[in-house]
Amino acid sequence: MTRRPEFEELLPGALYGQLTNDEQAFFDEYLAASPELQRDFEQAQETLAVMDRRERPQPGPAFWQALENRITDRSRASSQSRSGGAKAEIVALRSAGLKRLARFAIAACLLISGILIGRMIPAERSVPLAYVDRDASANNILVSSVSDADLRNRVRSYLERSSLLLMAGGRTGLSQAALSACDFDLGYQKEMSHQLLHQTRELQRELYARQGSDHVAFAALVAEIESYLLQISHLESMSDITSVQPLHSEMEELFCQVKCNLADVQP
Amino acid sequence: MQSRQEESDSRSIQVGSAFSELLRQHRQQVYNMAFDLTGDQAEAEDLVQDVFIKVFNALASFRGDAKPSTWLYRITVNAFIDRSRTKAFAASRQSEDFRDDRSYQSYDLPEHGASNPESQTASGQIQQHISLALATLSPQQRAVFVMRHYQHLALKEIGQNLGISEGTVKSLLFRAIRKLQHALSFYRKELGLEEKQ
Repeated sequence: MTRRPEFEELLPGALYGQLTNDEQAFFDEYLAASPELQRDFEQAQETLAVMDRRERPQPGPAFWQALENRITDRSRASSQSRSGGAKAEIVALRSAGLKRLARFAIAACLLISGILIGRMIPAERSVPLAYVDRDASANNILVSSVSDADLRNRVRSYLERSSLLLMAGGRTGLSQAALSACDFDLGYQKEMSHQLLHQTRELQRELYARQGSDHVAFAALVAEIESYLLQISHLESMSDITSVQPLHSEMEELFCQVKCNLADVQP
Repeated sequence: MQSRQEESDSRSIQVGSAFSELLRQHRQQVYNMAFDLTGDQAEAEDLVQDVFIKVFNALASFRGDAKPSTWLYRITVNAFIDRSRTKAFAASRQSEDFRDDRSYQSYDLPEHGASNPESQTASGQIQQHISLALATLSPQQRAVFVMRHYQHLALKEIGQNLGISEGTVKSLLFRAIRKLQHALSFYRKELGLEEKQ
């Protein structure tokens, strides 16, 4: 071993007995030289001892049986829908039981009532946004009323606006000096992040509802962007900017990815 | 057409029986991992369901390059991180709604002596405090900690499971332990361990 590892590098291995002989020797030297580090090590051991007192309540056999049944139903439904279109869909619903069918019918009634009520009220937005979540906890099957063209425009607008934020972050590497030098406006960045975050979930639902590989890829990209936006939107001040550190290295890559994907959604 | 249908049915049966076997053999491992990650039985059950649905959908394409347990760890952690992202976003929306309400905090750790002995048993309180301490970790830190501390995986193995270097595993684990140390410091006082200083 050529380099003497830091105490912090050795601590996890020491706590779990995973140090090599050389590493253990270095670690023992640290402990012998500093009562503070010795105390630190003991405290970490005590913390892990508290964590060992964790108990796990176990689910009953009914949970496992229900899970197996649900997945069996699901597999049957998906294989039938692959081979038989609308007829298979009806069979799948039957096999899932009357309860599920009733739930679906109620959801459909609610949706139709919602649409009817919505049409009676003058809309502020030109694009209707209505979703039916059919037994979302079981299947995540979503039906959307947003047209493909509209979705494309939304994705494009979202990526364009995100790319501006990512470009600012990527260009400065989020270092405080660089950010100050280029008048990085944290208030504006936060506001933009908040606005975009408001659109994120809706957009992801729409993209996942389509289930095509392109849509899933876009949804994954939106999820990546979301993690960055969340961090920016929660910053209290410029001095907290270092907390966005884990994303530094990926910033440029993410920005490039957004730029490439933008080309795919040109009108 | 008929033969294609039969072929598809037979494949479904094969996948179905392989899945049942996998579920029986690994369900405890997946549930334990899910509970350690989420810290809540209902959430763990939801996560287990997500994981096995993903497993079922991907089973036909599983080539056996990795051990099933490794594959399941990876799916569980990824599903957990996905769910955390969704929850974090929901929380961000909620915090916007209550931006001026200072009383809103998602992960309030208890003050020393602030527990209510009438409403909870001591054991229940410990479990709650441990869950809250785990909730202070980022999803990645929690995944690494859970895999090492509760699933007893070697650091190298954790790195392979999560697709990160061993150095990153050590760093995440170190930060996780530090946060837990801080979050549970009141316990050391309670247990008299602080007097050693």
